[in-house]
Amino acid sequence: MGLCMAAAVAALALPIHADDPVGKYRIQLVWGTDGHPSAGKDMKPLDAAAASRLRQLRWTNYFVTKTEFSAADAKEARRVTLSDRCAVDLKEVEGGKLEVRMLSLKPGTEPRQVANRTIGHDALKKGEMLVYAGDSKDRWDDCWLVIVDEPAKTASATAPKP
Amino acid sequence: MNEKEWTLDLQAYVDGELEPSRRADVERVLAGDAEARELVAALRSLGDLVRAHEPVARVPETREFYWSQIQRRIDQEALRDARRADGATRAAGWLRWLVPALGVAAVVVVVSLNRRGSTPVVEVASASLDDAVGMTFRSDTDGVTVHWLR
Repeated sequence: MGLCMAAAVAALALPIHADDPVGKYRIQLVWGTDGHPSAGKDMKPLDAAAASRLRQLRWTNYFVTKTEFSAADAKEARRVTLSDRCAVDLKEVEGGKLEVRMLSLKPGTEPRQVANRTIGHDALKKGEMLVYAGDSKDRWDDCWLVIVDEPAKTASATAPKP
Repeated sequence: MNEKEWTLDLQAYVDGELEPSRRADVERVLAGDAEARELVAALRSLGDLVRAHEPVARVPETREFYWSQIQRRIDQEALRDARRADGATRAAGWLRWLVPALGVAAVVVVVSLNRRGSTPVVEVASASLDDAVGMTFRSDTDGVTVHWLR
């Protein structure tokens, strides 16, 4: 019994990885570009349904550099580290919403919050995507995106009617 | 009217401080009173004498006042130069605001042109001070809200 409890606590404490998509929310770090990945870099294109929903943005190609799955709870934010520079904190908040905090990471300093937005569970269930984006600091004219959604709904995304 | 009041009236007359009606009365009396005319003449010459020989009191200029005048002139010159420079750079100042404004307009145009179909997009300017979100835009049709970070 005690062992089961410990395992349950451990499972809650750690973000769940793409290979084990049990977590409710999917967090993807995406690279937007008009070019292509360098030879030898294994990057999966963002699925066509999600990419088509980014048509407001001007880039032609979107590659997923990292995918994480995570649950969230109301007591404590769950941190999902996407790269050595960025992470997101997920937390369930009042009003049936998910709070998504974007964090900037720098070695030797505390994570710095750069944005904080919420999205309703109802919207997520309908396939809504919350996207943080910005210009790439590594490559001129490229961008990065962090996409938060509920994968089961997004996979068969029927876009909500206006 | 007693003599003292009359003398004060004459003094006021000489100093030009009487009201027109009272002045006319005094002039009427003066026309028939040679002694009063002499007194008026004496008062006028006394006034002229005092004004001509009044000593001019000169306050010595302090060291601080002397330097403050120089400082004030320097400040005025600097202000004049700054105004000249401001006038010259006003056009550049406009450009400084115009260029980013055109940039934002261009982004909106590019985003709008990239739309396929008749997807309604709501662009919401969001310049919250507490975070780095520079602009938020949303597509109801696509079910996407993008928060663009500065």
